[in-house]
Amino acid sequence: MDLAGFLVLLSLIVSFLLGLVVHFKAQGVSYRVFEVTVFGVVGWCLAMFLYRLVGPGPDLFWARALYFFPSFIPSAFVLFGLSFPDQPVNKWLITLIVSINLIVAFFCLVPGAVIVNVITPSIGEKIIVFGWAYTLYLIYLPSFFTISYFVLLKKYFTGSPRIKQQVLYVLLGLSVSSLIAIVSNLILPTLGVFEFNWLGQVSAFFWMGCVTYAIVKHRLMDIRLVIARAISHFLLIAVLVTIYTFGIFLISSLILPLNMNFNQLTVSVILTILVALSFQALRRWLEKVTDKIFFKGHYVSEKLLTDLGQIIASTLVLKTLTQKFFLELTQQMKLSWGALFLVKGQKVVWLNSKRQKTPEVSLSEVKELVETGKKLLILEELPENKIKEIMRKLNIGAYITLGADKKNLGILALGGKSSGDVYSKQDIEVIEILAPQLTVAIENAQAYEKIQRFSDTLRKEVDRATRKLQRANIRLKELSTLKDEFVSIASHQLRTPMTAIKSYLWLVMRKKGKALDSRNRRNLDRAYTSVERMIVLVKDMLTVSRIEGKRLDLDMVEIDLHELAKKVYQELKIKADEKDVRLVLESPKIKTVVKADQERIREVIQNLTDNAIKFTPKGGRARIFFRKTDNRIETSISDTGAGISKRDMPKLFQKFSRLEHSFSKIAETPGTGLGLYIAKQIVGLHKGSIRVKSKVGKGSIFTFSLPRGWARKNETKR
Amino acid sequence: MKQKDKNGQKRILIIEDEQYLRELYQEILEDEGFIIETASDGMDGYVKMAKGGYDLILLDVMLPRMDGLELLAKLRKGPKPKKTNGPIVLLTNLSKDMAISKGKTLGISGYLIKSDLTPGEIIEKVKGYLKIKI
Repeated sequence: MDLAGFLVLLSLIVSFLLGLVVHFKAQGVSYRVFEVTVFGVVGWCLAMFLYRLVGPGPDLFWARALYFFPSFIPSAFVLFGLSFPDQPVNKWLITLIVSINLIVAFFCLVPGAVIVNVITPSIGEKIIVFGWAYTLYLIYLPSFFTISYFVLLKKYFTGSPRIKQQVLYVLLGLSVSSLIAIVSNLILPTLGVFEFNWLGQVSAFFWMGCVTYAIVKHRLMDIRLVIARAISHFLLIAVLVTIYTFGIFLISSLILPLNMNFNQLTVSVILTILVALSFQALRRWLEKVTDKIFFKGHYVSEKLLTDLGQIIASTLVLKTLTQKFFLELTQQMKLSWGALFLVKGQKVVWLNSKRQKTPEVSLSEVKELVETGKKLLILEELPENKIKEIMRKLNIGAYITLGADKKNLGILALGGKSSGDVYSKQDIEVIEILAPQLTVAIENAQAYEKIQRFSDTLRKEVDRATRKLQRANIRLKELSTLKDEFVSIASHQLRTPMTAIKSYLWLVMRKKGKALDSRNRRNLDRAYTSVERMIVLVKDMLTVSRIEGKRLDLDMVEIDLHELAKKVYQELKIKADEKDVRLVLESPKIKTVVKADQERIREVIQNLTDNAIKFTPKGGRARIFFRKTDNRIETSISDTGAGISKRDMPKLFQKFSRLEHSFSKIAETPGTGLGLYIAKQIVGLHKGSIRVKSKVGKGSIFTFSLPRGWARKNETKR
Repeated sequence: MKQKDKNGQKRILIIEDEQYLRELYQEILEDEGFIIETASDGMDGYVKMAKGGYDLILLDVMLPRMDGLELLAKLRKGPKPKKTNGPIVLLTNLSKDMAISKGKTLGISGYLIKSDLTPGEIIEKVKGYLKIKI
């Protein structure tokens, strides 16, 4: 077995294995059809291997097989292309293609049709003698390959991006290996050259590989990259070998009478392959060495841009961003240093990588530089001017102004290249791409900073305001307490002399009452009533102050409203009798127990009853009675007074309200103007309500209700 | 006269800083035949109460040197008076005085709101505390 035989065998195995991969990994009709293609290729390789191996006699059979099997390849591939990735194919079209294929295959097997005989010369490859049907074969094969090519091209242009990727690989494999196979296995043998008829089989596995990869692993980017590189490498070698071999062949056979035998030719081809294979590796190694020696800047723009893009997007903190940015940029581009000079108000802000030294820059210098536009300016390319002077002074090799619209932020300044070279076209392009990105990043970072500062200020401002409010609140509470204390003390202090006045007046009236004339008696009586009114007023004001300061403490106990009303009744009965008003306390038929502050509720009843007596004319009637609603006890005090007009109703429970249609004419002593207000507040504090019903000329009914509460409590006790 | 004689056996201590009121109460109660002693500040009142022997004590809340409640507290802590005292009644200006509830825990028998009462009513109340039929 020679080298060609070995390569063919290798191709056979690889193709077979790939066929298995497709069989087990891919699903769909098109892949089953593709298996037929693989079958053709495997058969073809097998036939070639055996054809080359066996001696005269059996080799005729394998020569026929050598043409029989490939006949399936293009037709099956056309069908594959039509059905790929999973499309129905017209039945008539299938029948037509299969029929043509079968006819050709049939002719391949008929003795004398395609192949007549195999001649084995003493030197060189076996020669196949072709028959009349070979022309048919010669037309069939390339034309079907061409059709499959167009079918796939159509798929490429109409398919989805994924399909496109897959089809691209299939097409690549197809073009490379069908070209090689058609030349080496069809055209050359037709011309009588059989030396390379094994190349077709060898190239086939590459095609199979491409298709299989496209089907199975179309999404793995990295593998695709590896394969793409492998393909380019392989193509390079193939081209080299072909050119070299043909060159040798032509020179040896046509120009120079060099008697080169087959073995010499083989050796020289292998040598060529070896050189070609080692070329890439050697080149890379040499580049590395030269890089080291000459410090040559060599980087991939895309990679650098991607890396820097990631850095730019990674953070909003400008300091961190620039540190990372310049570290990466200066490393990859091999620069001495890099920095940002940003104009911020009347200051220049330096931002660079930690490890690098940056020259001192003044504001005026930066301002000068900023004004020169948004192209990368390179020291060597500038005419002698002020800019160049500044650049030289600051050791800037190149710079670009950063800024959007008309607003310039500052400059991106770079030192020289470490290699001592001038900036390359690649460098300029990369930096000019980076500049706007960096501008956006700086603007974002500055906006972020501003927002942070603003948020900080806001928080401080809120804190300060809160503290102010807290202080004000404390002060207000103190003031409120002070006011309370003041009112409390004032009322105490006021009461003592008032009590004295009241008591002495009483004493005079009682002891000397009979000795006084009616006028003096009336005058003393009025003084007495006035001082009593004052006492009540002071008491009411204290109560109001406590209610409004929310300092009125209620002593909640179970009380009987009727019992309470009895006390009030007893106190006010004399007063009512004096006025000739009939005061009535109705005995309730219901339990009148509520939970309340006894003293306060007594005050309410007394107030309302006192009002009723006060505003009822002689011969009138005031009545206290009770009623029960769902969960409340209602206490009502009615009178037969003048009533309250609707206009006055809303003012009734207000502080110091003076009713326009006042009863003061009827009432002998005006009230404090606080009684009803206090009553309403107290009832409210008990979660009760107070209301009034009145008819002018007929009288009024004041009713307050309190929650019962006791009933449930008693029930639970039981 | 019978009644007044009976009253004459009763000793009442009035502790009140306000001169006019003190003298007024003294006057009207003496008119009723009671034996009246007075004190014008807390200290004086305390000394007298500690001696004891009063059938009724009218004690003002707001007093100089030692207020009514302090007096009551001190009395509780100190030794028992030689002669026992009758009920102690607090004199106050306010119906809702905090002193009333505090005083109750210190053993007062009741309270009189000075501003609300006429002297006549005070006499009646005093008689009530002394369980004298009016």
